[in-house]
Amino acid sequence: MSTKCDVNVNVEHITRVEGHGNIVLNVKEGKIEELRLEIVESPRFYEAMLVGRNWYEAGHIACRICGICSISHTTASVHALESGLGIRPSEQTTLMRKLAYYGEMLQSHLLHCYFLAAPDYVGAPSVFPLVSSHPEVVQRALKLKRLANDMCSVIGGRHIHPLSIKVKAFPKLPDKDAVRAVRDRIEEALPDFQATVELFKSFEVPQFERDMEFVCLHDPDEYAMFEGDVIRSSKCGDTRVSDYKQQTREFVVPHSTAKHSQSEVGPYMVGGLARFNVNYDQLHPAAKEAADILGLKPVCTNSIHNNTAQIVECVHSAYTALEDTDRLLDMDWVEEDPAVEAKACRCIGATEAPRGILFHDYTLDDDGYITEANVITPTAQNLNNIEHDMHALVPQILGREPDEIRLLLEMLVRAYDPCISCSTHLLKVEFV
Amino acid sequence: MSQQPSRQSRTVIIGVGNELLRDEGVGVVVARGLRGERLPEGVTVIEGAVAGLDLIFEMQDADRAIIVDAADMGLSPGSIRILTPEQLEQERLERIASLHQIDLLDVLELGRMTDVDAEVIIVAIQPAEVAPGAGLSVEVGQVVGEVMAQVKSLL
Repeated sequence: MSTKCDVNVNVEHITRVEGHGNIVLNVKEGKIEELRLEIVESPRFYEAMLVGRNWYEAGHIACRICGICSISHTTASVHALESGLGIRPSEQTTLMRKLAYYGEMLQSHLLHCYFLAAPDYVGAPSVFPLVSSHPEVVQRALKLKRLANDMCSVIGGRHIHPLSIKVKAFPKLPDKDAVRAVRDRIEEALPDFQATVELFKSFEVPQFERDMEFVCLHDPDEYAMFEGDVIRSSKCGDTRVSDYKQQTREFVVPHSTAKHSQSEVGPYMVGGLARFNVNYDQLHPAAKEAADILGLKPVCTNSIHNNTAQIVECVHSAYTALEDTDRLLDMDWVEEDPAVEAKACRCIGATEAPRGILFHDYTLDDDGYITEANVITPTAQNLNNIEHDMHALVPQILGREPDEIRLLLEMLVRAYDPCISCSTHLLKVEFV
Repeated sequence: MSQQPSRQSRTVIIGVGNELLRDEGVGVVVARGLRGERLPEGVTVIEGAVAGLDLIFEMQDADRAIIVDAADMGLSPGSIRILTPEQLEQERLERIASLHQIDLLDVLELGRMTDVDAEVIIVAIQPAEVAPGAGLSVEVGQVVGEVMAQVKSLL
């Protein structure tokens, strides 16, 4: 097929992503006339719902933004409030939260890699044909997903929308025997994570390169996921979390009900690949070994390899959760006083959600009521970068058949693991 | 996570649907009602709501799964039918909302094709109104007690 051809691709809606988005490509005589990722999901106005509520309701309300990364929203909310109210949680509380956090990271990455992305690599339209062709793969995926769910529920009381992850301390401590049982299951599952690495090693990731900015949290002591000291950019250096608006500059585009973001130098990528590229040195040794097996090296500028980075992070999360939980189980657990005194303050916090850095920002009045709220999700930060990727990719693949162009564009978008429902919660736009 | 009874024969009752779409959430309302009832040993009640794929895990340890859900059967609002998954599929009865993009039949199929061997029974209720909003319609609200009784008769 000639690169001077006409191509029309209209994917409405993109399958195997969370939420509703369309890809529109219109090429006339080899020239791109239209190319965009349309976000058509209704805005959800979560920030407006938070305003007027008391501080202690924030986590419970905000976590409903997403059924996949609800623990991340709870974590970002708790980090924000603890930062503003001057609270430092105990090591016991932090380790308990981390077990649930790593559970969610695994839930989300496993769901994406096995059920949403893997079908692309074996030429299947969904996971269902894989059940008959690769039954052991689907059974392994379900086993690991169930383990990840239980890592969340043993701490949070249920596998999404955690009940007991609160500011300062747990109002009710988890059952230590149940935590020990989950810890043993993580250890038993380590060979399944290795098998997952081997599976994804067998997949051929499409070639694509684009120089881009990677942004994530950074912590001097560990591979920053649960928390981090600063926002680190591969192009713009470090920014304090409290100054997140210097890194994340939002703007509105007509074809998206979610805002777009850019840094001072342009679009940027957040998520597994960004974390891998920026914080590679701090990965668990087992995760570095997995990266070697998968052939993933920093700095990787093929965003489709975000899937590969997610597999590396699955290994990191499993091994780190195991070691952290051993530390937790070695401690004598104590009931901690969860009482908090509210005050007027600005509360800004962040965590690394599975899809990338997530900011929560509240302003409280003297009585602890929220007067302003701002939430910036990773998918909202990635949308601009995805479109720039699409513009870089299309000229490289114009000579191919339309179906292949369509598939590659879908694979590119899916690789970001977009959570479109999350991204559309905040729109303040005048429709014309 | 629900606590699993120790008895060998285990039944799980799962109410699914979206309560923010009025009658679409009738399964969850029925499940909530049943949680307050005295049920035989070995019976667990789950408010499955829009849990999707994770419903498989609720069924993995069960011998029987009774799923309560709204379905458009072309009957008068509030009508109740007891169906097998095969009947649901054969009659192409339409569930209204997706379980976060994963349909109930897909969940059942995935469960059947992996290691879920629970007998599945579906209690389907004809909705009157499926639209954004809270609370059941009068017609469907009136049959919640009857649905609960029918579910209990299956135990």
